[in-house]
Amino acid sequence: MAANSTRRRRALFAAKFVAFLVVFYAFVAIGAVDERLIVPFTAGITRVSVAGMRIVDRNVHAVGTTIASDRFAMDVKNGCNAVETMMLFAAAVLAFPASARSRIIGLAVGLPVIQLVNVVRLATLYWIGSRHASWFEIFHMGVWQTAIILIGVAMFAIWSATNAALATTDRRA
Amino acid sequence: MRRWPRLIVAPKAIGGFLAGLLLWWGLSGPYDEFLAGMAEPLVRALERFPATHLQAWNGYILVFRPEFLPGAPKPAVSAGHLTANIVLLSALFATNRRPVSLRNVSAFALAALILAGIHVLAVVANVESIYAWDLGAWSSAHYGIVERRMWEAATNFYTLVGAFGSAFLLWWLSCTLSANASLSHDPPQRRASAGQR
Repeated sequence: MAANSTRRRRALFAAKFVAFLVVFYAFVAIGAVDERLIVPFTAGITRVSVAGMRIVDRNVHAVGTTIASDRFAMDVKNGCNAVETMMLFAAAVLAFPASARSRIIGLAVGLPVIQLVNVVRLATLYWIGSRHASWFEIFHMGVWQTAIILIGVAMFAIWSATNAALATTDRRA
Repeated sequence: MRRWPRLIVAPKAIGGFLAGLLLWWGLSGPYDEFLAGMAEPLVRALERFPATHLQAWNGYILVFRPEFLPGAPKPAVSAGHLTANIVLLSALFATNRRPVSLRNVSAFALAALILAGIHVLAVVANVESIYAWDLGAWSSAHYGIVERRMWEAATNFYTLVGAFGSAFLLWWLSCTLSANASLSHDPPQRRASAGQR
């Protein structure tokens, strides 16, 4: 019985997770949203990354969503702005059975952490691209993209485990 | 203690991540050829006059059609972008209890097989998206607005959330079926009573 209930809850989570992903995708796929929200957001992330990078390299500057210097330039596009990780994390948090307060706390902590890690990703990708160009693609596609999603999954795992334990305590009380 | 997933999963995840990275990077050549071979008949099945030829080359899947001028640059799909989610799948399965057990390895193999099917469909969507949008007058002549929007949405959805979402979901569903995840969310007292039975 308990196993069936667990399976049912997990299957329900999967269905809700997919539904939230579709809704989020439909939202960001709207041209105006991309133009007025995603692109300016990406430009903001680019500026924050460049501000950090300028501590060690004064030649680096941001032009819109591009990080550039005299030796290398890199355009930050969808997929590199961590919006997809934020959507995956938010979909998982919203699909998981928890109180509204827990969800708000999870999102308020998790989403900025994802962007913080993304700033590190952009800085290291720029560094690799400018000094070890042949390694850029493997770090761009294979290493960092997966690593940032894994960090999102890890944060969701910690948050959901905390919530599951609290829910158990509540049921006992 | 039970409020947090065991931290032991961190080194296991890193191990799985590195194994997945090796798998993805080391087998990219033959795997891209496999993808091109599997996707080509599906793309042709969508054509009134089947003519598409797909060929793997240096991390890309090149698209050939008789209409393309000889020597002109060929449209291409970046295979690495489509297939990198295998690294995530490997890392997630490595976090399960007894990651090298026959049960877990079999579950991973099954999930990877399903992911390979998703990769083939992603290649098809990307090629169709190139046909629908990137070939100027030819695209407008052969694709209606609904078709164009549909292939664009399919490609963008996969790129943005589908690739990694599908890997996460396959792992999650595998855990659901086997009840084998180390990051279990079962209430502790229920697990204990299940063990007693």
